[in-house]
Amino acid sequence: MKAVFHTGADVAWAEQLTATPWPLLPVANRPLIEYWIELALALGVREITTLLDHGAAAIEAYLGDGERWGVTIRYGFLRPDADPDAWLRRDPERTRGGLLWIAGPVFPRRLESFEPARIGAGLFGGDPARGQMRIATDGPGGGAPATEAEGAGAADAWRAAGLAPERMDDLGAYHRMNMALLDGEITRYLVPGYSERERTRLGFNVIYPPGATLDPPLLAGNDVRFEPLCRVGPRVAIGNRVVVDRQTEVRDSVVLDGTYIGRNLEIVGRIVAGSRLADPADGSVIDLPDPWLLSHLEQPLRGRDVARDLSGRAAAFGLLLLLGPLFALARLCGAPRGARPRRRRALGRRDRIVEWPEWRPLHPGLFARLSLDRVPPCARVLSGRLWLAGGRPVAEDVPVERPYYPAVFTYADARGDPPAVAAAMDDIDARFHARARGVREDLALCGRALWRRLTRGPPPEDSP
Amino acid sequence: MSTTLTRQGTVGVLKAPEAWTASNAEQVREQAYAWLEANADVTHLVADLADMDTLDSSGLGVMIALLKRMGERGGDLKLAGLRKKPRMVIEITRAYRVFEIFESLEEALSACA
Repeated sequence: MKAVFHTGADVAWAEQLTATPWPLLPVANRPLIEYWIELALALGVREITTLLDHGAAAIEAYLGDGERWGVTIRYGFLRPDADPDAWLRRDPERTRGGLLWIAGPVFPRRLESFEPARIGAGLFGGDPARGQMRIATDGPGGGAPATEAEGAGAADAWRAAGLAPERMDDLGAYHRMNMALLDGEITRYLVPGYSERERTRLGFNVIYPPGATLDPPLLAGNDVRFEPLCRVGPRVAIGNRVVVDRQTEVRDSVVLDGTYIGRNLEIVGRIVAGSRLADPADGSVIDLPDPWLLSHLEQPLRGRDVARDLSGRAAAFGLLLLLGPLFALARLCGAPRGARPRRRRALGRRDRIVEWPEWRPLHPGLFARLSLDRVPPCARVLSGRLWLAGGRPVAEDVPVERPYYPAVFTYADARGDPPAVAAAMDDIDARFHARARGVREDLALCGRALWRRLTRGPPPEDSP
Repeated sequence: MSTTLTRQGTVGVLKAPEAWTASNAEQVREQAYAWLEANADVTHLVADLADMDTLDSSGLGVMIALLKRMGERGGDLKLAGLRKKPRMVIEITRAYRVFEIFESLEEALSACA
């Protein structure tokens, strides 16, 4: 059996929500098209042809050659006015051995009784643009009903075999499908990459302080950050790279990738995609380009950087005045005579290389507790090569694909993360900081890092 | 459409602009403050939001400032005719907990009587 996925339909409700092509729209944090692939695999399909239209590049980039799923994926194009059946008939090879055809926003919903071996020829839906699924035993017709009315019986047979396709033809249907999965149906599908505890599924790099309440069922993707006193769940699906700020409550909602949800908000029964807020009950969507409410995490806030720069330089100057004499004393007493310091090179502000000396002091613990190791990089803040607070500087040859504010004091310092943990958290820390950065945030971060180092000392080094 | 302020007895009616956002929030606030200054006997204010389609945190901030100002006079700011999109902003910001919201201007005015 072979499969053909037709992704050319215009799905207006998805387009008004996000620029992500609808086949990649996540249902419970997994692109819709992955559920199609999973059904194809269950039916024994190993060759898939994907017909592309809008968002072709993104879909192709995501699926690749299908190796990830153990299938071969090929691509083709079909004009919007072309007849899909004629396209299938044009090459008998496309349907030899049977065909799984899925077109439009159809979710291949599985029931408890899902048994792929019992699924025979059938048809769901009439218009491919609105959502259609067809299984034929051989050839384009292949025993499959030709019309939706004829397909009613076959659909009953599918249901008996545990397959009940659902059309997602509006925001309400999309929201309902997400909630149904969160309510327990998700266990009928592959749920890769999440750690699960009591119906709370969390991806990698999910940060939640003790003050945050997570109520299951809840699903959160990678690089997600919950701020103190926020309450998330029950029935919430959160995508990747999402920040939920302080004292905010999110329930019965879907939050798509790259979203920042501001402070003290209440999101109930909604779909949030960046700065867009949708009410699935009536399909209304509003755009709130308001950094205090909802926004895309990648939103540039360059105006604040001038103030951050000035305050950072002033604070660095103060720190140098305070710690400089101690640093000089430690150097005088501690460093072996004639020893040359190691020079640390990193990618600094405005992609310029920044360099500072790193000595091996006599009492490294005390040296770090007093943050004397940060004195040389503090001097680079004065010269505008580093920020006072922000992300960890990376080596000059490491490509950076996240917002980059290389700094002396970082969130990892404030939390006391050992190097491996800090590296894992870099991405979400950077995205959070890109959104939250400001004079107050930077100075608070610097203060927390200094206090943590002073009271608890440097974090333990990772074991080799 | 700009903001207009009228009065019906001791109740002021603020006809909100189509978009009450950062671009005009300060202007609306100053206009409302000046009008309230000139109409010192107005104790209640009703914001007629029937034409308002866009609201952001700045607009909401002005509403809260006006609510506070009216509270100092022993009165209140009531919202009337809220449309769907600004209603969603009022909902997510929990502002419905501080404002009394009415379906229509008439209903809000009769509640002030």
